[in-house]
Amino acid sequence: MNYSLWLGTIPGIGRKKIKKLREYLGSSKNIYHVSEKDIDRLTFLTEKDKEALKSSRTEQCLEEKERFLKEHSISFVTQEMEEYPKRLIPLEDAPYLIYYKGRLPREDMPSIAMIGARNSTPYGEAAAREFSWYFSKHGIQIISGMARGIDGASQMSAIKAGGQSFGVLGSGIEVCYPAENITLYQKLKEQGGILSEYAPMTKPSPGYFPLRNRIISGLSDVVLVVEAKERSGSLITVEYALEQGKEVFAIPGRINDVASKGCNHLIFEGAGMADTPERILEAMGWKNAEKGEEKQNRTKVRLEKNEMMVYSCLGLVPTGLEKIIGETKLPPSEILQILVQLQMQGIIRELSKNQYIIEGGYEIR
Amino acid sequence: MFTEGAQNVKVCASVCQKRQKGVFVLCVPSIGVFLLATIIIKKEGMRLYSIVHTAAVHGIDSCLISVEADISNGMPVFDLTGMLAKEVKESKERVRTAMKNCGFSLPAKRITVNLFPADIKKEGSGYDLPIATAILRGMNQISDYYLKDSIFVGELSLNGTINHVNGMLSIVSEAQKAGFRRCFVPKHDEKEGALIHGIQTIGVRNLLELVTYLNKEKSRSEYSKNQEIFISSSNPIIEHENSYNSEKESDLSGLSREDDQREDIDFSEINGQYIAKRACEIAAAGRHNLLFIGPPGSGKTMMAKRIPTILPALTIEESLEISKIYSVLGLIQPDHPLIARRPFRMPHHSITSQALIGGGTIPKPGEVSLAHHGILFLDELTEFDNRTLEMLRQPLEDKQVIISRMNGSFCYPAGFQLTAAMNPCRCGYYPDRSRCSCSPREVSHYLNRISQPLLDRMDLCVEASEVSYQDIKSEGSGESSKEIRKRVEAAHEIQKERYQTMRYHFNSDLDIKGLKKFCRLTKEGEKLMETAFTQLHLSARGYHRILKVSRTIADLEGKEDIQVNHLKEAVFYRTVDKKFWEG
Repeated sequence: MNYSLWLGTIPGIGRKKIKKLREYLGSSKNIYHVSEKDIDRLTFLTEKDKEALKSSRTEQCLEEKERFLKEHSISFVTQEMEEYPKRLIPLEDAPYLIYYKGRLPREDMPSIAMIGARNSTPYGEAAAREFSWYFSKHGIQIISGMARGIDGASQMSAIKAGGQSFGVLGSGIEVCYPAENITLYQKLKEQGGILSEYAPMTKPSPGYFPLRNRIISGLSDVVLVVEAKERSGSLITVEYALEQGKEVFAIPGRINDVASKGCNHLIFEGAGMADTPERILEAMGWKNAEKGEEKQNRTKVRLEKNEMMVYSCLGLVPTGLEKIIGETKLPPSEILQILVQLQMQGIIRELSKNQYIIEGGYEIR
Repeated sequence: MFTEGAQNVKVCASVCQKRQKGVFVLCVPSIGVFLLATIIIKKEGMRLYSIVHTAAVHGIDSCLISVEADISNGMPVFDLTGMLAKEVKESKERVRTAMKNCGFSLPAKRITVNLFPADIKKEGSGYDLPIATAILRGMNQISDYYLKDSIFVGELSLNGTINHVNGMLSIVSEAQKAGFRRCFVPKHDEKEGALIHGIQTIGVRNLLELVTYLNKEKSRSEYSKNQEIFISSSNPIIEHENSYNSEKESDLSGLSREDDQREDIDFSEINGQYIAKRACEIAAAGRHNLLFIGPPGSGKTMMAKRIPTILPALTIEESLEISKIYSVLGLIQPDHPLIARRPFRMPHHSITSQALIGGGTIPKPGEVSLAHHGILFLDELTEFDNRTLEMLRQPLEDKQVIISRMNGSFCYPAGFQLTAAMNPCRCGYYPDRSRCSCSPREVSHYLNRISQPLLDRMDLCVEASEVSYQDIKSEGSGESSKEIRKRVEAAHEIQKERYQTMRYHFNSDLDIKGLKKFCRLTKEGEKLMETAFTQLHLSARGYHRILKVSRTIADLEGKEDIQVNHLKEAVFYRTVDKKFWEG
């Protein structure tokens, strides 16, 4: 019998009203057992709310909810429970109830929120993967929104690096949105967790996403903006982070890069510049992570002279064939042989037809 | 149908009786009517029954049709029977008027014309001339000296002029196969018909010319006895033209097969684009399908248009085969009846599936057949209707199109080489994010317009990149089409020799069995393909395509075995996989 689950799931009664209820009446158990007369005296509740509150106070109703969560293997945590994330407690607008799958972020491990545009560039995604890989190898949890673009890239990379990652959804916990991230959704349950404050079957709605950003920033020690345009949803998260007193870092972009305008602006306004992941670790004083391990995990690849020439033409921005030919001055027939060779070694990737970028996680010599 | 059947019976009866003279009663219980046919033959030796041969286009081949005419006493009626389409039924009026205007009035007798075999639907306008000829013979206006071994095809104008008919090449070739010795065709189509060896094609301008020709073997006196019965006194329209075509043997050398002089486009005009040009060369050498991907204005169309210039010249057989298809559609120029150039078809993306594949109530070959032995270029591939594109899958595999309709199924050759071009996304600049603002969803949606099975059928895929200023400025530094063609021709020769006894023609035709036989890999090669298969997530079909292309690359170099660098190059040109088209 969990009274706090009951309190957290009464239709029409959100976190503000719950907060007031608890101020007036104490714990959820007290609220459950309080007399109807006392409820009627609460002025901040509408008639409808009062009715909902009264009618839902049955054991059957509560059992039903518990059974549903059990069937779908959904766990939950409320402000009245021990496990409630400590990082969220000081928040003014902390959710009363959080549903989750997998597990909750660990308190004793640092966590970084990696956020950025859904409509990302290969540069942004590569940076996200690179940073996330590094953080995961250093035992840092990655918090993000499981969205397209930067969110997905960071979290997938963390999973691949064997790290822990947590996705905070803007929909019910049973709804995988966007649908193409289903693999990530499944993986997160095993290596981290999925969190949502909305009822399990809630459909995603534009209004939900900005709100869940406060949880993303709330759960993390540092907010890292990977790639953001001048007007971006990520900036909402940054605002929350500043309100909550979290550190904000941004990965710089080129000056003429529209996709990185927001990041560069943040740096101008005083956000930390994260040109390397080490920068954040240093600034936060997280020295405990072993540096040697990360280096060892990079696959060493030795390239021949011409291969190196071709490789050095490529970067995180997709490079076309004509450009490689122009820069290396090698015969085209040789270049394409080299490109195929490098692709098969896995150190470069063909993004769209004959457009290449380098893959992270390799040490090229 | 009933009246038509009755009509036939009546005429048959009359024909049988003509020889025996007398009065007969014929009982036809099967159709449940009794017919009384009373024929009294007045003139001895005068045959009022005649038969003339013609042919009609059926698919791109033709079938032989016979036209029989009978003139008998009775009510003055002109009847046409034998499963006729509307345009053939109308032929009656054209024939009557044309004959009158040429000086042959129809007798005031019962004229019945039957076209057989009756189970073939008679369509098209070429029946006017054989019908007129049959009646003229029935009227004893012409000698039957030529009729037995001749084919007559042509449409009549009211003044007796003989007009153009589509599909002459197919008709004459069928006649030649069936053992006929000459074809009387409209003057307009004479050169076209003359392409076929072993049969004489005689072009005639009008009905009178035909009559004069047919009669020149026999002295006029033999049949002039009865002439006054039919010939009307005045002859208002036609002036006599006694110049008929001299009997020259059909001959191809007289027809211009101008290849080189007509090539006003050349690969040397394309600057840069080394890899894309190389892909064109490989595609041409093995007749592989090719897909260009690239931003707008990068020269995709320009390159595709130049692929025919590096393909070897058509052989006479190929030329005739193509000309036949064009002839059926009436696309032949009378002065240059032989299609000597590789077809390059570039249908607009609004094309319907019927126009692309072939079809219609009267089936006609579509663009895939018109591109036979040549290039079918689909520009803006993603803009084509999805269903239309999917229809390409079967002809791509079978190299032919079979269209079934109520009155038979038609088989059109479709040995085309598919070349297509598309942008990587709606705005065309993906993955250049400084210019492309498409969301990942939009990009994948754009690409989803083409199905993976179709993408899998593209043997080669290459990016046409944007041209730099240096490249625009430099004067055509690249190789000319002629130089490339030499290499392609050599590769074609190798394939021809290798597949001499096989049913394959080119490397792109190879099936699994052929791949096993002709695309053996070295140990190193196998190792490479294994890595490629796992590392690059190839599909089984993708794997086979790479083998085929590497076979062509080896052929271009004149190498017996497929080597590692050939395989690598083929891997480079592999088709796009939508799954991995992501940022």
